[in-house]
Formats: sequence, C-alpha cells, structure tokens
Amino acid sequence: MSTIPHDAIVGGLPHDEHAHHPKGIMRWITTTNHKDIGTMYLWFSFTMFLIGGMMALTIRSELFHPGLQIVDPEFFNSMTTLHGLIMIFGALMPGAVGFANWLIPMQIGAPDMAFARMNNWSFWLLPPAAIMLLLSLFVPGGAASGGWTMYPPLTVQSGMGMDLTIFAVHIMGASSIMGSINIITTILNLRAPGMTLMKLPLFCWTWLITAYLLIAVMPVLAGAVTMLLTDRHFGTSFFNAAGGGDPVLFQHVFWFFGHPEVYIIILPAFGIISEIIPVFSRKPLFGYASMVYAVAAIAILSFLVWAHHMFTTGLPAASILFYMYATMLIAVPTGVKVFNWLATMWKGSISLEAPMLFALGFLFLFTTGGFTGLILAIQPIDIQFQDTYYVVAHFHYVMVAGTLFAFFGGVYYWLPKWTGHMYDEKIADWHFWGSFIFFNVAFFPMHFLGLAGMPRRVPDYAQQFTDWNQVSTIGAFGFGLSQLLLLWAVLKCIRGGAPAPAKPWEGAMTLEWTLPSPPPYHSFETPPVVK
Amino acid sequence: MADPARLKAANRRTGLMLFAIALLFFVGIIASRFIDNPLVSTGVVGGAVLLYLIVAIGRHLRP
Repeated sequence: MSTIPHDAIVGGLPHDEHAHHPKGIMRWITTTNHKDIGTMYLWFSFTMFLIGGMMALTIRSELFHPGLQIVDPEFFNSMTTLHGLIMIFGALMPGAVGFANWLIPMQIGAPDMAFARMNNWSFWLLPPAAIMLLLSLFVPGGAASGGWTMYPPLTVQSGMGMDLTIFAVHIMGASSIMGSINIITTILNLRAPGMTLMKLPLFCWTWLITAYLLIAVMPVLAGAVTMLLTDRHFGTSFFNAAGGGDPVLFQHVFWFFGHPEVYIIILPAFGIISEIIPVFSRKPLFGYASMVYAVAAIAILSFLVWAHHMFTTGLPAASILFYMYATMLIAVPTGVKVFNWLATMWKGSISLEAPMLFALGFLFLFTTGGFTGLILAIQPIDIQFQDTYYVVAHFHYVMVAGTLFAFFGGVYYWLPKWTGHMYDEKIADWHFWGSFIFFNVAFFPMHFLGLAGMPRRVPDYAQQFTDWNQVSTIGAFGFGLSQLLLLWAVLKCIRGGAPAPAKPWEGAMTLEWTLPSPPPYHSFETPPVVK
Repeated sequence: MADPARLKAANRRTGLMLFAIALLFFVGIIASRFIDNPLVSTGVVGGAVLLYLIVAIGRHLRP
C-alpha cells in the first residue's frame, strides 16, 4: 500500500509555527532544516543544469556546420567532458537529492533527516567541487578532455585540469555517500509509528534502494580515481601499461560504478513518476509490491552488466554472452514498471495537468531510450554503434527524457506544497510542449547520424551528416530556451499566485499532503500514527 | 519512534555501519591491486559489493 487514507492518520499535525532560525544568508549557510537544504540542492541542480546546458549548446553550435569554426578541438573535447560530468554529478544527482531532502521526512512523518548537520555539510561540499571543476577550464593545459569516463592512458598524461577533476569527483562522491547514509538512516529509523516498509510511498522506496547503490559504488569510483591520481603523480602503475599496469582494468572498475550510476539517476525518477501517475489517474498504483520488487531487481541486476560498455575491448565470448543476456534481463523488471504505470492509468479518470504531461512524456520517451538500450545490448550491433551518435541518442533519451522529465513533473507536482501557491498551468504546459518537441528534434536525428556512422566526441564531420546535425542543433537551442519557461513558472509561483490548499491534487494520499501549504518550518514534531 | 537517546544511538549505529561498508569498499578496491592475483582479489571485492546489496535490500523485502 503506497497510499494512506488521511482519516487513518492520528495526530502529527504541526504545532504552532515557531520557526526560530537565522535570517538572510546565514540561514542558508548554517541551516540544518531538510526543507532549506532541499531547496538549495534544487537550485544548485538547476544552476548546474543551465551551465551544463550552455556547454551542450557550445558543442551543438560547433557541429552546426562541418569543419572547425567556433572552438578549437581541445576546447571542444573539454566541453564534452565537462558537460557529462556537470550534468551527472552537478545536475541530475543533486536534483534527486533535493527531492529526497524535501520529501522523505514529510512522506514518512519524520521531523527532519536523521543527521541534520551532516545534511548541511553534504550540500555545502558541492559548490566548491563544482567551482573547482569549472575553474579547471582556466588552468594551464585546460580542463579535462578525455571524456567523463576518464579513461587512462589519456588521463594519466593530461594536464592539471585532470587533477582538479579528480579532486572534484572525490568531493562530490563524499557528498553523495554522506547523503546516502542520511537517507537510509532516516527511512529505517524515523518512520512514523505504523508505517511499515511496505507502506512506504514508492518515492521513498526508490530512494532507499538508490542510497544503498550509492554506498556500494561511490567508494569504488573514489578508489579508481585515487589510483589514477597516484599513477599521475606518485609513480604507481595501476593503469599504466608501461609500468606493468592494465588500462582496461580502469574501464572495468569505472563501469562497475558507471552502470549502476545510470540506475542511481533513474530510480528516484521512477519514484516520482510512481507518485504522479496514480494521483492524476485517480486510482491507486497498480501492483505496489511488484513495483518494489522490480526496483530491487533492477538495482541488483545493474551490478552484473557493466562490461556491456566494453564489448569492443576484446572480451571472451562467454563473457560477451553473459553480459548480453544479463543486460536484456533488466528489461524484465523495467517492463514490469512500465506495465504497472500503464495499468494504473487504465480506465482511470485521467487529467492532464503539467505533472501528468511530463509523466506521460517520460513514459513514451524513456521507453524509447530503453528499447535502443536493448539494441545496444546485442554485441554484434554494439560493435557497429560503439562511440557513434546512436549511443548519444540512447543515453539522452534515458537521462534527459527519463530523469529530467520526471524531475520537471515532480517540480510542478510539489511546487504548490513547497511554495504555498499554485503554479501557472499555461506556462507549465508551454514548458512541457517546448521540451517534448524540441527534445525530439534535438535527439531523434542522432539515431540516424549514429546509424550512418558519425562518431561522437569529434568536432568535425563528413559533409553527408550536415542536414541532421543542423536539425539537431536547432532542436538543442529550442530545448534550452524552453527551460527558461520552467524558471519563469517557478519564480512566478514563489512570488505569488492562487493560494494552494494543503492538498491541491484530489488523488494525493501521501503524508506530505496532510501538512499545510507551504509546510511549517518544523513539520511532524509529534509523529503521526499511521493505522 | 523510540525515546530520543535510544533513537540517537540507533541512528549512530546505522550511520557508522554504512560508513564502515563504504570505507571497506574504497580500501578494498585499491588493496586488491596489491594481492598476487588481482583478477581474483578484484572479483572478491566485486562479489562483496554484490553480496552487500543483496543482503541490504533483500532484508527489507518481506511482505
């Protein structure tokens, strides 16, 4: 049961509001309040999304015409590298943590996160790391340019920008581990009386499993980049073939982190979609228990498929077969989830407010990205598509149309709760349609370019790829401009608008909707009892 | 929820346990390179990560 009838909750409504906290900038620097920290995470994520987006537009501008015209190839490579790192570690992961901070305590009836001070520290590690990453553009030799995967031997040889990147990854990893410890402890120890694990809202379930994943893989990434650092500066040869090391080992270790990372990013998005679809279909979520088991299965299987990123490195035939089939197997629990979302909507009384539009956009486009993933799982095909734009199209359908659309839907869904005002539905609808149309204009042609053999991470291309590249660049600018509508909608909602009731969506059944909108600074000081 | 002192102690226990697991994987993946057969030792660390995940998630999945 993910939904809890509100008449089954006893007590727990907030006390009189005594919000004793510093004002001005000190409020944000010293805050230990989960709502403040959630807000900072979300703004940080959006800022990094815009910066990473500018880098994407630089890449797309260069690719508007064949030949070199705007940036030199080294800078182009730095842009592709930083775009990937910033979007993954700066925008998507902090965005998901922002939702977790705002919602998990309120959804489980807790007053705050378990380790409130560590929560503050987790956030404040991120801005210095991001600044370090961006400043690496200005050091001698420029920023890291070997791709977000940081493969040696190229990264062992590159300049000081790589050191800053490694340090930034360390810091962001530490922040993620601290955030995960906090989330697991909060969910396990601070649930309201009566809220058993199988009554948790699905968003909390997806985050619980995501946090376990983060604790498993972030130390592995930290270990890999530490070894890279010692190879660069302390004379070791972990990955240096000349000294007896093995460069391919780095790829194994990196993707042992990197593939679960995809699920770390998408699982919270699944949680958000699982909250939105039942509410706007006015039906309980179909197959709650199977959704939980599917998330667990996806998480565990995600550790058994990393080498599908390495089909071209010369794996033994038995390994190739194992990784092919294991990768295809992930489609089963993912299919269960898609089926359950569709079954939830089946014969429901659906209304198409912005959160539901984004959820439907997510369903359609994420499934497309999933299918191209299945195609890439087939090794003989992958050999052809490796490092082409087909791969770029695939992972943007998963990361952007999957995770980002879910985040957009989540923002509109909870914005009335966060701000106390209803958002402007018209702007939100424009935002959806602009994002949906231009996303496809930008990324669908990349399938054709990849099928025709255009390689990724190269600033020049053969003449015959020009048309689709131009379409893609126009789409990318349209998609980027559409995001200004999100900023407009959010700022307008913060500044005013129709007052939001405690429960603006009639089908909403989780605990946060029992609190007033906006919720008091300290919510659930007395835990509610869930019957 | 339990009384504040017990709750704080429980939080600390859970947090320290998770931190220890993270530290173990960090040290383990580096240490595995210093063992005679790195393929086996890296496999052991990978297996430990997978086992942790199965146990950690699996124990919550009781209906």
